[in-house]
Amino acid sequence: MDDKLKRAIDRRMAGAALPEASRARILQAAAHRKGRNMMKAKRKAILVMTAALLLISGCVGAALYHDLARQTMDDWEQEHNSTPLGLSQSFDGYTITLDEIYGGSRAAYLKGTVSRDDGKPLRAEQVDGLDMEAARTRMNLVTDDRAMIEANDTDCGGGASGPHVLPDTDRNDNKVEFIYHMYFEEWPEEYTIAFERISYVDTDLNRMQLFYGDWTFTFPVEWEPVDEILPLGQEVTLEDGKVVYLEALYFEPLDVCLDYRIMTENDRIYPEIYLLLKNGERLAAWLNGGSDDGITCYFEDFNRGMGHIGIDDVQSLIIGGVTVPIAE
Amino acid sequence: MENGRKETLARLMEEHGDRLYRLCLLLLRDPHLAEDAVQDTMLKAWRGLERFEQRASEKTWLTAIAVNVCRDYRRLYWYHKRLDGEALLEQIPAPPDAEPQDDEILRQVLALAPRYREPVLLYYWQELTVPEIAALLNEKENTVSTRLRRARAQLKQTLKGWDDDG
Repeated sequence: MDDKLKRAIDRRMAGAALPEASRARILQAAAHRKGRNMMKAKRKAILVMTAALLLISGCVGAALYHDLARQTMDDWEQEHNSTPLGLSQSFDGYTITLDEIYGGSRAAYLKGTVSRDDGKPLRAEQVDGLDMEAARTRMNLVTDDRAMIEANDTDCGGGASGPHVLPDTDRNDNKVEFIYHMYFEEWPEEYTIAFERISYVDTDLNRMQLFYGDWTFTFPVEWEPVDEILPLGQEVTLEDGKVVYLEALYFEPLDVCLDYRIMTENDRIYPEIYLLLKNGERLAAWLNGGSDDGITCYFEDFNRGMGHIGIDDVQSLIIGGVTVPIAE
Repeated sequence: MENGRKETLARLMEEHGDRLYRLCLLLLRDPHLAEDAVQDTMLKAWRGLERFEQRASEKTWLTAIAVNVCRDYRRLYWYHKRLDGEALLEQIPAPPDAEPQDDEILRQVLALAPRYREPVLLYYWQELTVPEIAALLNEKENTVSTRLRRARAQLKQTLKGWDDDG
């Protein structure tokens, strides 16, 4: 079998040859000793290097989860443009729009609205008693007749969380804004998200009501990446003797994540990880997930409301008690 | 550039240029990125010539650099639209001795996720050993073996009859 595969690839790929012009460029680049800076120049062109931003500090510990999202979004929007989408779907009295997207390499964030077609007020309220995990995964809306609506998404086409409802800036209008967090190792060419169900609590009847609809959106993944990637490429021995290989830090518009691997055999205990920022704040690892193929560690959602965090904001990565300097 | 090093670079290109280009093409599924990747590979190799201690063969050494350059490219150019297997094959002239099933085999290899495509190409096509691939990819040997097993199972499923005599 091995030979069969090798012979097939050898035969078919024999038609592909490194172009002469490319060979000449290599010799020319070497002659001018330009090689050392080529990758850096390319990375500089591709990665959007953002200036250090002022971080919002203080009081965030007491802020509601959805306020944290809004704070970091507002900070990001002051400095960056988003990619407009302008998509809208109506069904059974409710319209969902996907307005714009902040697109990074590993994560992208859809910003949209849910509105009532009859124009009556639709409000978002923090539901008492929901813990942080529930608040992260449910979109809780309150209509004028005190019904709670929970919108669920399915078939998101990849990893995602949300929709996260944003704090209601106008409680008398008929819409609320939400943000939807998508993350991928490799993006598909197009992304489909289907909102399928709205459920709500009818407070008069005091029971849950469900109806199914179809708010399906498909859009191309064609945004220019607006994040920063810091390749790390280093092996680190942690305080407990565990060996990890750090691949890269991704500074996405509203989050930060780290790719790494545990190199020690039969060791699947995740190390404690956090980022130490230059302003003294710490951003802790929130989720670790992965397999032998690699682990992705997500830091606190929406940067815990501290605004966008870029490479220039970080002093060091602390992993398993070992400090890995990030700042030059 | 001193003549000796220039000659070495020219020789490396002559002996390995096409092979590395084909490998990068199959890893990146994009002819332009593949050209750039070979260029970066050659220049990295050229800069590291003094450090090359011949503990590995020249082929393994260059392959390791190329695979890691391609990994960087996939990370940096993730948004770049990649060709699917069909479109890529249309851009590669089919040699006269190519057999009808070759296209289908390549299409299915190209359809594998990068984490499976890499070890398949390195093991079955470039004929590297599992320990060599593990060192080159900075992975554990068990991980490489597992990925090869899964990739082989996937190929067996999509290429019915391919492994009959295996």
